[in-house]
Amino acid sequence: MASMAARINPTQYLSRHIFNAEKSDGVDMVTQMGFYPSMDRAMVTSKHRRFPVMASSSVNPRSHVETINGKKINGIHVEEADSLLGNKSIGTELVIDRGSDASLHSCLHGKFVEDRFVYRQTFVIRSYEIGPDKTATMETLMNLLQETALNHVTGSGLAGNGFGATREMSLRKLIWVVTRVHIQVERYSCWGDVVEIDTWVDAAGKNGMRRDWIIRDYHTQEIITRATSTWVIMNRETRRLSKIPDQVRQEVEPFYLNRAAIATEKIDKEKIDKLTDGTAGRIRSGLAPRWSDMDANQHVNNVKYIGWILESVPLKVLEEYDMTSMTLEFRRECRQSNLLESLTSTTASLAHEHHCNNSNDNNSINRRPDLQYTHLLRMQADKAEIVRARTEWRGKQKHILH
Amino acid sequence: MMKLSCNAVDQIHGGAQCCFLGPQKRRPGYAPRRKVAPASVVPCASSLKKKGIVAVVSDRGAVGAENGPGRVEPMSLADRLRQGSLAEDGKSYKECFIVRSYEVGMNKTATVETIANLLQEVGCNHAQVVGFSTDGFATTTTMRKLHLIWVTARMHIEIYKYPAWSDVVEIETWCQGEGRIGTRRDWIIKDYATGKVIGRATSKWVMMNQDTRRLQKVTDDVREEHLVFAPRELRLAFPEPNNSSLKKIAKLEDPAEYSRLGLVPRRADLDMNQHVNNVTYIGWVLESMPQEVIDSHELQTITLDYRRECQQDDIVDSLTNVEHVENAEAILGSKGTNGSPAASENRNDYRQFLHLLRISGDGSEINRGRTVWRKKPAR
Repeated sequence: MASMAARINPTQYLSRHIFNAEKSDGVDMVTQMGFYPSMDRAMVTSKHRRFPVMASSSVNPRSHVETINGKKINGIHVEEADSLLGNKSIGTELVIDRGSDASLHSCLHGKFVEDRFVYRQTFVIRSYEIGPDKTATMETLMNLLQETALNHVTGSGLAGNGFGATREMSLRKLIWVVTRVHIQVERYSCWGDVVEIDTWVDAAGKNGMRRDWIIRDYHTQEIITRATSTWVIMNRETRRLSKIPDQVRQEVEPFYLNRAAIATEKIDKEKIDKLTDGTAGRIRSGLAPRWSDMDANQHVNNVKYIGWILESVPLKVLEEYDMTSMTLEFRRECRQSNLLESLTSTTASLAHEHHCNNSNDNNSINRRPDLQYTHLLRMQADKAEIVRARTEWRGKQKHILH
Repeated sequence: MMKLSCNAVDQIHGGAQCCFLGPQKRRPGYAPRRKVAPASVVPCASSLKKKGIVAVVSDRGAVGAENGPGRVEPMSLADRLRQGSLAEDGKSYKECFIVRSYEVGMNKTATVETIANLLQEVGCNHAQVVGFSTDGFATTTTMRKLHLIWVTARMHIEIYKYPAWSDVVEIETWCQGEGRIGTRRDWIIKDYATGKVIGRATSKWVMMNQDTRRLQKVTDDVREEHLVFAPRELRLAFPEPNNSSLKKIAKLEDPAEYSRLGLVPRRADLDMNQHVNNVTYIGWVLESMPQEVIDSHELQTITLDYRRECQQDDIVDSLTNVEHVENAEAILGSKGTNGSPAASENRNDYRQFLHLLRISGDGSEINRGRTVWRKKPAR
């Protein structure tokens, strides 16, 4: 087999292999793994790279094809590739993952861990994801959370058609819609940092779903961010909320993991008040979605709301404080043609006694927030609500260089 | 140059230098990871494996991932993830990136802004790896002494095939001198899985005094410092003669056929140095494109001449005119296809536009641009 591989032009081998993997192997592989059994074939074959397992089956074209055994077993490469690079795959990773350090492709894609309940992906923070204060922005974090969520559902079959809907949901024209997101940040990452994000789903009440995330600094493994989100089912044509049909419940329950990223007592469960012209401290009007704000479904990406919300936060706060937590309540979607207004409440100081620079608690990572704001993003024309938000802020620590 | 046997180069992570510089100081915490002392860095390009996989000097002080204490597997995973690598001769730098879902636009492929961001990222990482400053300005020691920074004068990007979500692209970049006044940086973008070239880009940079904001000639000592890492022979991403990266861009005539007025920099548009990010201008240029072209065509080429910076509180107008092309071959030639007869080419397959961004108030020009669009492939 090895000698045969040597005669094959690596590029040809590669494309042929992808083609084969796309067709039948992918579905067989999935059924084998005990994944969602009747996964939509179309999803698997259309964009093979969107299915993390498939993607990692692409051989690194620059690797030594003549020495990698290249044996195909239902589309999975055997572990020989790993031993070439002196790595042993360890841990509880599934067969599909192969600890796969064999190719760059698989490093960049995520993998299922902990008996496939948790999806894990690592990311490098890129220079353009950094804000003026030289740390990753809240938008960057939310983008990465969204990315892992999407990769999780695509890879696991929770979203058969790529629109965030399982097969039974698509049949009934139902989709998952996020209603609330709560993020707590301990520490913001810098350019070049590597973060590891774990995500999983669980039930939320009778008819909802909860998705949680943990972000770790990859090298220290300290948890730097925790997040949780609530999802409901909506009919995408009538836009009305729906109960979970039994067939859908059967589809998703196997994925539920009873674990919370944020301890119950620490979750922000309070209602967020609706700001009005009268109660707002600052209003910023004329915010316009740009062409590049639209996502693949022609809606304004959720994450963009954060930027607009912050437009009405006093500049001094943005410069001198770090956001420690943010809660978003999504009310309505926004299409490109709408002008928006961003409202922020007057500053509410949280009654703590410590001061930024002088406290002994300077190095403690558990410092509590100093300020709190309520926000509203609404349509400029008819004042219809898009998002309500609450944010908490903590004075930036002056870095003490050792 | 010393021939090195170490395969452990991590100039980005931990601020650790190539191991031959001596034992690394342990750094408390991980936050100031990127504080590199540029003058002390020498690229040990010759030591890097042709595989392009780079082991790391770990934060825990060990040299080389295979030998270090702690986790072996995750260490190399992270660095393979994160690291690009210098070519064997040290004259160019390559890095891989995965396209994330939120970087994909309405066409379900990466947007041109995503591509431009990645070009900028790989340029920054290259500059870091060879020891230029890590503050985003990529300055040499002499430049910093004289308060000089590089600013973009022209950016030209051609994309032949847009990558989709979760595709991996490999970008190679290098820099070179450009006459007396500046430097150029070129890029080649490949689809990592197939190895095919999916795009090329080139950019021209000039030196400016940070305080006076005035342009300055590149002096010989700066040129020396900067071009140590440039290829000895001229190497161009656009080697073909008369390619469109060289074409002058006329100033479009008022009144413009299409416009979008009153664009404002958002906080997210500011880079780590509080300036409006170069990539934001691309977005602004596209704001005044007619919707029907955006719906039916794909951006193939964009050329921008940067004239003036935009501050946080400026208001910007974006203007667009159709640019009538005398010779369709000129467009096709730059695509790198071998000549279909120009005369019989359907004009509607390619559209060309002239652009202008100006300050709303006094009309002063921020930049001017040209875009070429090709009909979207049938999906």
